[in-house]
Parts: sequence; C-alpha cells; structure tokens
Amino acid sequence: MLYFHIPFCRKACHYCDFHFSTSLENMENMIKAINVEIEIRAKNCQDKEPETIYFGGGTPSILKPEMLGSIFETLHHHFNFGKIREITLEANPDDVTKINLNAWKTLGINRLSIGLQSSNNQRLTWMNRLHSYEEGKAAVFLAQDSGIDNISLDLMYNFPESTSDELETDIQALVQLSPKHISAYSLTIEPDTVFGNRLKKGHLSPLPEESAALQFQQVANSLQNSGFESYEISNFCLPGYEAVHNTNYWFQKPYLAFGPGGHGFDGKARYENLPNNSLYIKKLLNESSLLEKSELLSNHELANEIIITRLRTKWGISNQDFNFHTGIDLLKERSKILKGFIQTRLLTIENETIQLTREGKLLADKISMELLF
Amino acid sequence: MKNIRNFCIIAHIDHGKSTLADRLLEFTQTVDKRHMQAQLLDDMDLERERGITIKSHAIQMVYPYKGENYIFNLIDTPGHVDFSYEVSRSIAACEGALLLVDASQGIEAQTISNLYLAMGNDLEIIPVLNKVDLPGAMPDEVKDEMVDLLGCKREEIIHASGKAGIGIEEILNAVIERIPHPKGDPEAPLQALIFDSVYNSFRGIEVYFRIFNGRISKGDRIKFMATGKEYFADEVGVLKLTQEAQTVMEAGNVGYLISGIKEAKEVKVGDTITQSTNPCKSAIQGFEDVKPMVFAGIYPVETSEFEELRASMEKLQLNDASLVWEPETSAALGFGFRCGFLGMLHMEIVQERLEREFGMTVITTVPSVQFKAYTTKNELLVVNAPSELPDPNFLDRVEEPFIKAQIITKSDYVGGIIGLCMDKRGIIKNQVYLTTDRVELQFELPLSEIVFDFFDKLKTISRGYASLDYELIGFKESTMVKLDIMLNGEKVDALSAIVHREKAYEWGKRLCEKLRELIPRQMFEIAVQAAIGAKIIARETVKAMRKDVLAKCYGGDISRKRKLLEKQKKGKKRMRQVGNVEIPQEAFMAVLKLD
Repeated sequence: MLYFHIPFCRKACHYCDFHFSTSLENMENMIKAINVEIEIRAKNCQDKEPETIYFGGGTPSILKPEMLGSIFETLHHHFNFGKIREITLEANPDDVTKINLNAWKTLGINRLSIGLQSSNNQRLTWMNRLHSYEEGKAAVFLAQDSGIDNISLDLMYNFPESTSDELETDIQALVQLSPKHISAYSLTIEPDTVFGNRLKKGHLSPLPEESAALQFQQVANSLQNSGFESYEISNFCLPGYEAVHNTNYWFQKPYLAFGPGGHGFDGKARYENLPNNSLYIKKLLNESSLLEKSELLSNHELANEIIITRLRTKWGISNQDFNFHTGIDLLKERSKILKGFIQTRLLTIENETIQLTREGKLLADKISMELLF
Repeated sequence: MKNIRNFCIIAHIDHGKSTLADRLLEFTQTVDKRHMQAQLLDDMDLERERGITIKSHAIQMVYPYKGENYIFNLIDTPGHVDFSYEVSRSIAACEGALLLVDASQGIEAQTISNLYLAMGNDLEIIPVLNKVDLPGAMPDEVKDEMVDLLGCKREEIIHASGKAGIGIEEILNAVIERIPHPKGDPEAPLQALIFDSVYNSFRGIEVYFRIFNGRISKGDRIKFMATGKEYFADEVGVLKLTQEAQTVMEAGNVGYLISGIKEAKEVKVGDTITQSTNPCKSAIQGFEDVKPMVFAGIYPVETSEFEELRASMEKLQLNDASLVWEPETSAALGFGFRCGFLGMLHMEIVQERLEREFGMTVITTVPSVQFKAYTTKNELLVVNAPSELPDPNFLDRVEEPFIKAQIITKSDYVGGIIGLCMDKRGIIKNQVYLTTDRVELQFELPLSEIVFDFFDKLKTISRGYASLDYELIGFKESTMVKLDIMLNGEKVDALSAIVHREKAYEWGKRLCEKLRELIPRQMFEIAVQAAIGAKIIARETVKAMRKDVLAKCYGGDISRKRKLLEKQKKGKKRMRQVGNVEIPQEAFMAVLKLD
C-alpha cells in the first residue's frame, strides 16, 4: 500500500495541525521531488503490487490533473497495478469539478473522501473551511453522477456550545447524501493551531466532557440507525465499504509513504519524511536523497501499537494473531487487568478476542494504556 | 602550632563562598588550575544542583609568608537550618572566620545568625566584601552595614572578587595576621573534636577532627567519649586535595581518622576523641546527640520492592548518621519504614537520594512530629505516627513539642512575620534591634506548625531575607486530634495527620481540595473525605473519567499515540493503588503545599 502526503492547502483550517503549506508556488517542484522519492523507495521495496493507494494531506485535490498524472506515470513505471483494490483521494468540495472528476476516474481513482465536516455554514466559516454546505452537497452529487460513488464524508462534532439537535441535523444532512462511508471526528483542539491559541487565551471553551461523551454515543447510534456499521472508533460504513487502506494501518501492514510529513512503515520500522516542503524538494532534486527520521520498533513497541490500533476496531485483538506478531500471550499476561475491565463492562472476550463495548469505546485510550507493555 | 590557622567561611548562599574557596586553593597551589573542577568543595551531585553545601568538609593549604610556611585548614560549613548543629561544631573547630558578603546584595539574615554563632565562639572575624567587580556592587552601603554589625573599622574590610581573583592574597595575609594561631598543649592527653564524618565505601567512615590538646599517632588506641566506643587509629592524616597520611598529628591541627568504623551512627558530630590509655579529663563542651525532629513513613511504590528498599535504607544510613528508621506497617501501603529526619530538607534529601542513588521510587507519608500521649490510665505513649495515637476514649491528653525560634529580619517585614507566627500558634517572646533596620525576633512555636511550610512562608513574607534558627524547648499540652482521610469510604492511614483541633476543619477542607486536584480522574467517581473520628468534616469528589479517546489513528498518528500512552503508563508507575484508587506519589505530600 502507498500513501501520498500532499502538503498544500489554499487555506488553513483552524483545527488542523497536519503538515501543509498555503504557499502553492512550489507545487511543480514538489511533484518532481515526489517522483524522485518514488524511484528511490521503489528500488528498496520488495512488494511491487500495492492493494491500495491513498492521497492525503493537506489537500491532494488541489493538484492539477497533469500533476497527479505525472505521479501515476511514475507509479506505473515502478509498480504493478494488478492487485489494486482501492485508490482514494481526499478532496475539498471546491475541487470537485467535472474536469477533475473525469481526470481522476481516468487515473483509476475509485474512492473520494470529501471533507464536508458540517451542514451548518456558520460552523464552516468558524472553522475557516473554504466551502459552504450547499457547495459540498453539489460536489457529492457531481461525483456520484460521474460514476465515483464510493464516497466517504467527514463529519466533525463536539463543537463548543453545540447541542445534540445541531449534531443530529448534521448527521442527517450527511446521511441524506448517500455516502458509503462516514468518518466522524470529535473536534480536537491541538496546541499549534488557531483554535489552540484561542483556547490558551480563554477565547474558546471545549464542550464539557459529559456532553462530549454523549455526542460520541449519539453519532454512533444515529449512524447505526441509518444502516452504518461502526467498524472503528471514528469510522462508519455501509456493509462491505470499509476503507481498505486505513484498515490495513490497523493490521500493521507495511506501507510506503511519500511527500514531506508522510509516515511509512516496513513492518518493523517506522519512518517520517521531514515535514518541510522546501528542504524536501531541495534534498530530492539536488541530491536524490531522503530526509527521514526512522525508528525501529522493539517487540513491546510493536505489541503496544497492535493494542492501540486493533482495540479501536470491531475486529478487536485476537489473542492468536497478537501472539503470532509478538510472541506474547496477551490474555495471560494481562489477565488481571482484563478481568477488571470485563467486570466494569468496558470490554468482552469471546473466542480469545478482546473487543471494546459501547462504553469501552469512550475510554479506548485509557484501556489501551493499561494494557501496554 | 603558631604556623597553623583554622578558619571557616561564613556566607549566604550565592554570595560566592565556593568560588572564593576555589581561588584560595589555586593561589596556594593546593590544586592547579587544570585540575580545578568548578566549586571543588561541593562534591555530591545533589549539593551542586541545589547550590547548597549539605555536609561540611575541610581542606588544608600551605602558604609561604615572610619566609615561613603556614598551614591553613579551611573548614566548610553547611548552609541550611536543618543542619545548624553541624554548623556550630564546624565553627567550634576554628579560631577565625571570613565573613563573606556580596557587595550587591548586602548582609543576609542567615549570615548574621551564623556570624553571631562565630562571635559567640570568640572567632576572629575577617570581613570580606565579595563581587566588588560586579556592576551592581554598592560597596559603600554594604560596608556601612558590616561596620554597623561587627563594630569593625572600614579599612579592615577586604575588597575581593572570587570570580576575578581580586583580593585573594590580601585575604590569605589577613588570615595569618589577624586570626590567632591555635592554643593547646601537645603534651596533654588527647582531646580532639569530631566536626564531621564522611562515608567511604572502600575505607569505611572517615572522621574529620580538630585536635585541641595532645597528639594522635597511627596505631593509637582511641576512645570516643560520648559513645564510649574504642578503636585503633588505623590511619590519621591531613586533608589536602587528596588525603595525606601522617604518623603523628598534634594539637592545633585538623585531619582525618580511619579506624574501620562501618556505620555513620557510631560517629557523632561534636563527640571528643581521646586516648584509651591516657584519657583527657573532660570532653569538649557543646556535644549534643542530634535527635530527629520530623517523622514520616517511607514506602516502596511497588510493594514487592520492600526488601530492596530496606537494603537501600541500610546503605543510606551508613553515611547519614542523622537518619533513623524502623519497620512499620500501613493498612493502605503495606510494609515500609517509619523514619526520623532532622527537618524537611533532610527528608527531601533522603527521598531524592533513594531515587537517584538507589533507583527506588518511594512514597513518603504525611510528615509528623513526635507527640506524647497520655492514656486515661496515665500511661505515656510516644507517638511518631498518627496511627499510634490512642483512640479518643482512652486518651487523656496530648503534649506536643515546642521550639524557641530565632528569626532575624529586616524591620520592614516584622509585621508580616509576627502575623505568620501568630497564625502558627506562636507566642512572641522578644524583639531586639540588632542594627537600625535589622531585628531579631524570638518566638515560642509548636514544632508541628513549622515543619511543613513555615520556612518557605517566612522567606516569601520577607522576600527571601529572614533567617530561622530553632531549638527544642520541651513539650506542652495541646488539644490535638487525629484527622483521617478516606477515599471512597476507605481510610488511607498514610494520609492521616495529627492536627490542632482549631485547625482541623480548615486543614481537612484544604487537604480534600488539594487531593481532588492531585488524584487523576479514574473510570469511577472517587469521594475524598476528611474525618475526625466518625465525623466527616469535608468532602470533595473526583469525577469519573467519561471520555478518553483520540479522534484519529492513521499512519502517522499511530506512533505518536503510542508514545503518548506509553508515557502515561510510565507515570502510573509512580502511583500507588490503595483499594481500587490510584494515588500519585505527590498526593501523599499534598499537606506540604496546602495554600
């Protein structure tokens, strides 16, 4: 599987702390640099038959069709597309045009993740999003008409001073657009963002924890009532429409990442490309070399990652699989803690598989932490 | 003997004592510049970091003057109220003292207090104005102060800078000219004062002494008069940069003794060394058996580490004679030790040394002083821990220890300090103006009121100026009650305290509030209650954690999140599970930070 981090945005959303730049001048060179990175990484990569490709960011839909085309050309040169199941592009509504859609389809992109976030235009402006709900809605219809109907929509909730009515309106507005998949994210206030700054200065107060917990459950309940299955803490889909790429992350599948700020994993070590656009370009175009930080995972660290990611999914942690990856008998090593969590109804163990209950999901991080090695 | 000079340096923290000492060592070529590690005298890590000298040491220098060689013994003194007895013994080993004052700061109260101690021991004082090269120096004002306080002449004050090396030669000359040489009779029976000891893992305890009369030779059979124990002087010598063994040492000199002593508690600072066969008639005056003032339980965070903790405490005790302990059991914490400390700083140092030198993570329970409880049958019980206080039904009365506190301050702060002492149940006994704007206040205070945060508060009120010295004066009856803390209805004995009845409500309320802040939210609600006997006097609630889950967990998020949770997990190792509640280490010390 391959991940592309496209570090450009037209405008910075007030909540986002991912790596991106709003200066778009470097885009041409960035594509050249990414192409060099593909050549370098492909050489050292065993698995030349990716199942999934994911364009994230930033805003990958900002790329002109010929830029995306050039990336695909390099990819086809080095990889075999025979096993491809899913190619996802994250798109902002304003980029979803007929021309772009046709180009994307031609390149093989078969899944769009559209950052709709809310049906409330005041909220969208407040978050510094570029689009209105109406524009988002039009984008979804246009994409569906063009034949890309595997669409995932982002929903943001847990806004300051929001009510359950407001949330319900948002949920229903999204469901009405007939997406196959919804990613629902609780607003998280990160330190180095506009919202983080407002929080520090006392100009923004997060929702009280009790309300946040209720909204979390409301999202799950309402989406379930509309036929969506909760297959990960923040991810919901119609039957059979799980995101293949993201699911692979949670099963520790190796993947290559390209672009500044991208994170890759070879099954044993994780690497991060330095999140700096101009350095990334300079290093690759002038020296054909990578600027990455890598970290070999110890067995315990790998075990911890499995706990953290799997516990969030509907599949849970299979003891057998855990043992296969780490040599550790989790049920035995953590029997006392697990017993406590079963008693407090935060998780269940069936067929030697640990799964969170509805209540447990709310405390997924705390529970994972207790189980870590 | 006429070529020996024994002296110490009296200075406030930061006034440049260590730097000046370094310069003296350099100038006398006791140590060459290349081997100089900054601030040579403070050799424990902890001392360096805290910027205070915890334990005293001594060093010998040789200085040629007008064609003759002079031997200087510089005796270092600790600088904290917990160790005031050690200071007094170091001073007793000297004939003179350098009074070092920062030219930009002026004389601080603690300096005055030690200065008076030195003057009381008839030490010759050489006033030195340090850091004269600094831009903020106010030499004239500070000199006025020094003249005022010492009654010396202005021209007797030496201008110096340890950093820039100014005035070093003048100081060394003054030591010879002004400080009297030691007096004593080398032919008389041995009489030497122990002013310090240091633990050496290879050679056992090194005893530092000053000979007043007689001589000590290698191989002598000697006796420590207070403990009554006898040893052979396996090795005696002088303290240069390294130890230099001597065959014999005479009256007036300062040196070290090694005699195979393994435990620090056999060596008591202030004790007198004499010959077993020809003992001196009387011991040197001023010996006191230093008693612990503060008691607290020390427990391992992991119950399984009890034996390891015991081994660590035993090792610690080898070189910390003032630390006493005995095993203790707590319903909440299991097996641990009840320890006695000289004061709060000493307690903190012990805890820190256990963590740093032995890698032990420990919980220290609420510190307490020693109470005397009388039962209805008029039996006396010595109470070192709240759990030892008898049930109210069998309790007739409680006596608590009182101290005489001597506080020196600038006159501006007198009002605030009197207010603080009254609040701490103090009674003012005396008020004397030492100079026009420096006042000495005397109070009688319950020891239990000053062991916690009194010193910090005193410093705050006086903007860091006021000094505190205290001595125990005895026990007096007080209405003390036992205040218990309950978590979800379960009494946590390690959080209990014995407090004055009038303060119990306030104490209970504030302690509950503090615990609510310090106990992290858990998956269930926690009731924090304070009680006297069966009566609940305060309650706070630690709300249950409702939501703890990050929104996103994709490629780059995974390792970031793992590191975050691994860090949390590590933090948990510093928490102690009591019942089903996890209590962080700091919570046990919450009482120390109640405001």
